[in-house]
Amino acid sequence: MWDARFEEVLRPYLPFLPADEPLTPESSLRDLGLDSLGTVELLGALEHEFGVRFVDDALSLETFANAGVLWAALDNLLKQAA
Amino acid sequence: MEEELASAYDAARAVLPVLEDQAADTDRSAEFPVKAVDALRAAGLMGLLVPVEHGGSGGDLGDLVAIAGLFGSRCVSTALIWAMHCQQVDCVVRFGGERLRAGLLPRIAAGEVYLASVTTEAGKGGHLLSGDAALVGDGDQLRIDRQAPIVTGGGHAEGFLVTMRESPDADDHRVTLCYAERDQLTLETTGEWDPLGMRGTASAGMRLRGAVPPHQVVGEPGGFRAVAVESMIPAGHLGWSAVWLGAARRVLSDVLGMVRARGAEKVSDLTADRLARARIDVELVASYLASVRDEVLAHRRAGTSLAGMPTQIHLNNLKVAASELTFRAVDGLMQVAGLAKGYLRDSPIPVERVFRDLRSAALNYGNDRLTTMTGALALLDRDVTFAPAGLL
Repeated sequence: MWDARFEEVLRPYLPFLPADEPLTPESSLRDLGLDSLGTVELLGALEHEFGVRFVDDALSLETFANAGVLWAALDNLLKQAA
Repeated sequence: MEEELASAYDAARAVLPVLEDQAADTDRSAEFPVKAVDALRAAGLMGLLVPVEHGGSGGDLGDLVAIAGLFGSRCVSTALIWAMHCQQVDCVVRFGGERLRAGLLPRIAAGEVYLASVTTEAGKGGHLLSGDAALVGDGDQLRIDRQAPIVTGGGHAEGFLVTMRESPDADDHRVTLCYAERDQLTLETTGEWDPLGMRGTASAGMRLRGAVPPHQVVGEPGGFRAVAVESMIPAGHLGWSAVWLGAARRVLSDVLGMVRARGAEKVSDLTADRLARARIDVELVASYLASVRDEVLAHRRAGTSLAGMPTQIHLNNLKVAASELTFRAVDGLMQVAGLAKGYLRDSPIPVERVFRDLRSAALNYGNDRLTTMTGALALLDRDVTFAPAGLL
């Protein structure tokens, strides 16, 4: 589904997701507690972990709608970099 | 321009004297401008944004801006009531189900339904996108029991768009928007309405209790966020900004007339500077309003989302800049008009009233909440995309 590192970076930004509950692609990140400042920090954390840079043109509020959409955006960057 | 829309502009110009004539009394009494709103109903203007096939004028947010600005030049309270009604109508037009649209929109166009907004809630600090009181399923009805500290014109509305938490066990970010008819609710007014300005909006608190059928949900259950991003926020920020701009422009025009009427008396450099500053402020708001209006209209024509970071930033910036700059302009113009003409309630020009009205602009959805959000969004747009994007 996604790189385990993705979930490791993401989980700390989701205060309402219990540690023993799975994160699914459909999980709404906002419902799980990702707020707007958290979004900025999360992007920075993902860029640092994966050595990529998000193109701001491609970002929208929808990029952070759920884990699946965010992973797809990141995965796209990783494939371009490879 | 379509015939329906052209006649809406004619009707809007025709009601301006009605708005003007009652503005001072409405301000003094802090009562809802029944006569002015009745004139808007009779003129078909409550249906500006209702599609022609449902009996409306088929206007878009550009038409909302143009007419809200006209109304703002005469009575800021009436203009805001009307602009916020249109904001609610936009939500129903874009996100209401077919059954709700077919039943409600023709009545709005006929002037039978004035729609008020119920989004404020005690204890959530003005957060638009969260909710505490929850919809409770009860057979085939959704039960509502909710307090709201501010409901603009609530005492005179025939219908309400109400934000509720999706269900008793839903997270407070899962908000559902639903339409409620006045006769589906038991309404209690809570508290008095005796504010500094915007006195005619009669925005006393309310408790609403009742039940609505599921087809009156606007947008997806729990999905108010999409309605807010695509409709309620853009229509709100564009409409409000236009009202404030219309009001500030009118005061500038009146003060210019006053200075001109002094005849041969020399205009001092200080007065000239103050007039220039006010002119700069209203021009900046006018230009930015036009740019953001065009950005929103372009997205709507293309069928693309308004959720992109630059568009979100521009919509927030418009509200913050319009609220601050129009107030600053009128504040400066009060200095030019002086104690006798600027500060007195019975002055022949309404500087004092508009000054009080526009002080609310920074509070009517708090600027502090918007700037903290915009700061975070700005970090996600390192390219600093302008409205218009192709400027540089």
